[in-house]
Amino acid sequence: MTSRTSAGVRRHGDGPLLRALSSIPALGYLLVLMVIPLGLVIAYAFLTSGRFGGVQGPVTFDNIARLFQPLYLEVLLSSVVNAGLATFFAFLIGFPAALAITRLSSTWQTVALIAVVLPFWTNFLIRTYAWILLLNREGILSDGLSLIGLGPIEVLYTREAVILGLTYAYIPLMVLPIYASLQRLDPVLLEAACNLGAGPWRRFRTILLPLTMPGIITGCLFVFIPSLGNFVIPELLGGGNSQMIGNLIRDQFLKSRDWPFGSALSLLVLALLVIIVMIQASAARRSRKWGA
Amino acid sequence: MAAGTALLDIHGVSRSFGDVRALDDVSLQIHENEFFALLGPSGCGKTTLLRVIAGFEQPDSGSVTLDGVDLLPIPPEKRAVNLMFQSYALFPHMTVERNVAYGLVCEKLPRAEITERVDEVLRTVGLTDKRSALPRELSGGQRQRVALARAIVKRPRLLLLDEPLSALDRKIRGEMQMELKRLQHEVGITFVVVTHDQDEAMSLADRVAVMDEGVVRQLDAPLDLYRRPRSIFVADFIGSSTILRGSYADGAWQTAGMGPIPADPSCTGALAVALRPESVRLVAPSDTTAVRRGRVQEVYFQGDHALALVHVDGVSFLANVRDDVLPTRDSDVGLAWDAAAVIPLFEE
Repeated sequence: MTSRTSAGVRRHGDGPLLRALSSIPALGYLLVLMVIPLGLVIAYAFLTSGRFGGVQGPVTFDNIARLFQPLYLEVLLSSVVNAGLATFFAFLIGFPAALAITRLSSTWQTVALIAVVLPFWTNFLIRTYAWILLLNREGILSDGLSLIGLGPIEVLYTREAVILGLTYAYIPLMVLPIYASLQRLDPVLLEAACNLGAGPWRRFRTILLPLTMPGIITGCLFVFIPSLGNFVIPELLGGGNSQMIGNLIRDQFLKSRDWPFGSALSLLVLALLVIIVMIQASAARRSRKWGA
Repeated sequence: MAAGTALLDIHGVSRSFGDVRALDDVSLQIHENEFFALLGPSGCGKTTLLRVIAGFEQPDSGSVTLDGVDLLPIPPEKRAVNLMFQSYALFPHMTVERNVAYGLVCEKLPRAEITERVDEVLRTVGLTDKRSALPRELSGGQRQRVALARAIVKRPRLLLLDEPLSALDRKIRGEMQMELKRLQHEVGITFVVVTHDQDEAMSLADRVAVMDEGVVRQLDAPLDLYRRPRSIFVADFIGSSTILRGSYADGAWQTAGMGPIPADPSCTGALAVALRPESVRLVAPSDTTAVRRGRVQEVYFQGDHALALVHVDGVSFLANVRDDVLPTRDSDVGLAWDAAAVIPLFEE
């Protein structure tokens, strides 16, 4: 028959195979970097720790049971509170910032967005060290407050310093998704609300906030998730006083050499985040119902 | 016509954006219970005027009063003026009912009154069964009704409608046109419609202000606007017509290209004259009443009549043909009209 027909037939025959082949890199990526590590963490959580690290038999539920000891729950709770406060402050600063950016001319919007992501071009550790210089007793903050008679103060190595550090580190991740959803919002809707008699606060509460909620939730997750697991900032800015769950997990693996319990703690954090992401997904579904 | 008192008084309002003079010393009065139209091509300033009335734009100079009260210092959310947006601007995350109730909730009315008024207005626009629907689940016509309901439920002194029918397809547009007119009578609110569509303005409004380049060129009832346009702009913008520049002398209109043609002495001092297609008759070339002879270039069938484009000495005339037998292309015809049907135009 004609070559065109045979080509068509061959394409049909090859379709599923080609598709299967082309999905191998993605599946391989997921297998090597997601499924296997996660499987190991789950498996380790139910084993006994070896004398010098590592794991050994027998299978046990002791590690899971230990999670519910008040000591560990307290660390988890204080981590959630720290990450939650960092998220809250990031929103408090990030939302008005994103709103201000949308009101700029398009050239200045680009400049402002570059400025927002600019810190990411510098190493995370260096930026955190910079805060040590700002916050310590001889630092700029303390000296500045001394000049007006309010100092010197000790911010470094407090819980407040940790929250400040987390807020600073992840605020761009709050600004960007909120900016994106503000961009999609039709400004005429705010004029309509105004025309119908809504003052600024009501316009914010009933139009701006609900219609940018998907961006707000995404931004909050982007700040909350890395904040919850962060152990560098509590270490550098919190000193020994402000342990977070990330520090605890790291210590189980690197100091206490208790891999099974470290794994169990990791699963606890993971379970918490899965719940939060599911809540986000249901909120996103609800907003898609409104249409574009 | 419209003998009521002036509800809205716009006096000497100007507004510039950079070098562009969007409104240039605009003065007009809108009466109580009137259906008023601001008509003009895009960029003529009609939308700016609408935004000044709604409070989204402050004029550089001039005054705007509503019921004799200065409107300009009042913030937009406190004005007794509601606006139906061109895009409708329905809140996508609220049901029809909540959209309509929004303005009443802002007024902090008791819940029972809100429910009652929302029910009533939804009945008026025929959307009672769609009350729980989201805007995206509605058709274009239904969305428009919601937008209208949301505005009239506030019982404003003045309802502004920005290009109310432009987003609808042709068939629904005709229905909504009648619906708007019915509603205006029913709710007794003063309507100000802003449009670039002359049919819309002419069929809806009691009075029409034709705007161009920030200036009101003519303010009249639709019939007067059509029959007695004062300027070349208005004659050209409203309806179709043949416009001939020249001057009145020796009992005839002396055109530049085709010599004298019959016209009234009322054309004395005019810049140009206009001839409406319905004033121009097609006759046999040999007919004694023929003013000029020409050649049919094109015939446009319109349903109840046809429009013939006839070239005479390089000038195009439009003539209505109501005969059963339509002229054929390239045939020679005579054109005839009464001197009284020639409309003098005194301004550019």
